[in-house]
Amino acid sequence: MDDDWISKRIVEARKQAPSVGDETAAGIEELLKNRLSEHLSKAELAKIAKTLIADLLDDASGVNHDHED
Amino acid sequence: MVVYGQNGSGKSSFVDAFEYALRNGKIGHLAHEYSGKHQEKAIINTHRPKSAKAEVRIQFENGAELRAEIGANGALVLSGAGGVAIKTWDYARTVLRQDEVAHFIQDTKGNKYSVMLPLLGLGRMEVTAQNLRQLSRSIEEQSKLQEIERIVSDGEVRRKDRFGGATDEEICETIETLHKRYVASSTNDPSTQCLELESALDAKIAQYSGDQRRHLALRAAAEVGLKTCVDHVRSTNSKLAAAVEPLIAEKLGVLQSARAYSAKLGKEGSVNCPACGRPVATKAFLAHVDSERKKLQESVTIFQDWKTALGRLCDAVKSLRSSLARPEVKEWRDDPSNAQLLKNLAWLNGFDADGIRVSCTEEELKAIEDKLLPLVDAAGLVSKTAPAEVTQLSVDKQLGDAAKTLLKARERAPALARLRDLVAFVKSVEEGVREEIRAGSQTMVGEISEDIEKMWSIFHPGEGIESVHLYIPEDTDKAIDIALKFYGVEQDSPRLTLSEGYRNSLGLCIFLAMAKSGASEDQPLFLDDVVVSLDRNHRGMIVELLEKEFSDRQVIIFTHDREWYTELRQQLDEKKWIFRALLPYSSPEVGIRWSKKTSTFGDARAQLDERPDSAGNDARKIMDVELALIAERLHVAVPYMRGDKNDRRMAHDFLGKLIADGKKCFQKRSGKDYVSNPDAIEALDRADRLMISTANRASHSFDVVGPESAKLIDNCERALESFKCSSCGRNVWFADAEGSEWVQCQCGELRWRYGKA
Repeated sequence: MDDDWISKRIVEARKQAPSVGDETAAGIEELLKNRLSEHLSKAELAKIAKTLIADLLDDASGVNHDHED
Repeated sequence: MVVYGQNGSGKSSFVDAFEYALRNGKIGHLAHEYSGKHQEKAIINTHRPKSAKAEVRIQFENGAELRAEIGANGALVLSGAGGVAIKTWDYARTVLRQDEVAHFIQDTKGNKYSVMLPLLGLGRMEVTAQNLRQLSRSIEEQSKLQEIERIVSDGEVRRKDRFGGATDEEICETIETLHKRYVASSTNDPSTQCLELESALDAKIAQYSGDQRRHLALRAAAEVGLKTCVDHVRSTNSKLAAAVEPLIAEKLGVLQSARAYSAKLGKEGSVNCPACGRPVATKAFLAHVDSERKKLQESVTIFQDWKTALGRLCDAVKSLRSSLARPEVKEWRDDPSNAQLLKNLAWLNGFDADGIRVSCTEEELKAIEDKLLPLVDAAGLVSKTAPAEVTQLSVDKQLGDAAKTLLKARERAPALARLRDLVAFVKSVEEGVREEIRAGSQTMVGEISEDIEKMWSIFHPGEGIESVHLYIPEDTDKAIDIALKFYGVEQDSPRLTLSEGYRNSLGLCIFLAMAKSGASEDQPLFLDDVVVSLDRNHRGMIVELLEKEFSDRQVIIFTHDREWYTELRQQLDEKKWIFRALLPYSSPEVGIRWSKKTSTFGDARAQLDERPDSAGNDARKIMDVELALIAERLHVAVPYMRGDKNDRRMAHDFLGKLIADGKKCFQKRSGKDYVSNPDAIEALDRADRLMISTANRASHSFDVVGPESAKLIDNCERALESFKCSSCGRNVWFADAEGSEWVQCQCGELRWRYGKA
């Protein structure tokens, strides 16, 4: 599961979920390459989920602000 | 290395020590409620002097030494092991204990998968897949996806109920008309119109008389649509029972991937099925994937419809309860002619409405019909006598509420679509990772299965159990199981047909196949009393297996089986194997002790003081086994005996033949020539005479005394040592000598000419 494989998989996944924006897809790709192969606690994953949801809804409303990782 | 020791002599302590180092201070079988937080009560010698350290030391061939110091409280300090990758040696592929032999076979499919995961090298991918699964769950929870789904679904349902097939424009016109009727101000925004309409209606109701409000509440109760909701649940219950597919979500996931795969295919020719690898016509493959997806999609629709029906019924019951609980309905509730209805009302108040949001059985539906429909009908009867103004307001309020719910649903619908897409996106990536895991697992499982099959055929040549292999079940992720053919019949599990002994030998094959797979030559194998339930024939195959498959690995075998230990000493190549015996355990102060000899006479000597008869008896048993094997190695011909008497020859039978043959066949070097070996013959003869006198009495009349047994043991030992060269330390059958009939020790000091007595 190298970086190349992850990038291809992200492209495939976007076909299944067309409304997922570039930034959200890039964020998940980055997570796959750097963090998701390590053991993460539920709390850590919940924090990631929160960020992704915020990104997604901000994308939809046009809001753009920095947030914590 | 082969280590012999009676039960309790301390064999497993060596394995424990290794596990302790391997698992960073943990020993699995000692982890229990009495062993202390750090197992300090179980690991440290109970009689350790205060000044002495408790420690484990492992020395490696490269000179490194791993040292594990164990504090009084069990705290571990690890040091050393430079250059040895001991941390990468997983326990499941390094150590096999007696009680673990059949564990793998008896374990669940999921645990088998967990055990094999590091072996498959897919651990990080599994972690990724698990993280992705938890991430999609977390997105669903944090975004309150289910709640939004309910709001959106509720909006559509209310629209259908109150506005039928009306278009959006028609609904907006209706709201505008109502707004004009009750609200003085003017606005074009439908949401604001709904909010203002709600406030205006509430204000109007507040000015109503008690009688008007009672009519309003009872009308609301009558119009909850309970009968329609019950019918909807009943209809979806039967559709669900007939159509639902097991593991529907997983199957849809696979089909989704198959669809993506099929999208890349041309329309002509054939394709290898991604599941089984068999060629399938592309058209047929595409048609099959499409038809399966449609079939499952119908099931998903039915499932979603069922959930909606349950939600509506739950809401209707709650709405009925709320309407009938209003203070303005008190007079109606307290009417003595409504006694039966009061009982129904009590049932309604005690009913778990939220429970039917999850599921609702036919019995529950009947109870709802029996208890609640009379309440609805009674409320409807009273509400028919309501003044026209109240009836109109009730209708308008319900339209306003429905419009408000619909607009709320519309507002949330885009967010719902995006959130669903995000979850689908993460799930799709997870499915991709799982596909990779499946593909990787299939390859590794195939390779390991080949080894299992090979080892099994060494253990059980020509027997009716074949095609023993691991497989990945199709219907579930994260699972591995074992299948075989039992006399030609496919079996999904060895637990269906194999005896305990066969399961154990299969367990051993699986362990060895896993241990062989992907391990470095440095990685040792510990086999702790693993042949307990194997019979002699199958036990004997282990030597062949180890020599064929593990000749480049360090193998440490522990056994309490004296006979097998003796066999191993005779059968394994002395140039490669070390044999050690442990003395019987005497006390914690003395601890574990190595015997100075490789034979097992230490067991016999340990009994000299307390049980001299047992000591003598043990010596005879040792000689029975040792001499049988020596006679076999030296091709000593013994008379044929009928049946299993062939296997029950005693030491005396063999000694007699060895002495007779030895006079001509057993030679020692004298200068450039070979001469007969009278010292050896004398040693064998002396042992034979004592065998007849002392050993027989030890076995039958038990009246031997310590010195007699000691003499017997010494002479038996001397007799066996007479086959070993005092110069090179090797037995007389160590190597082939010149010509095909001679064998000799390593240096050629001793030789035996077999077959020419």
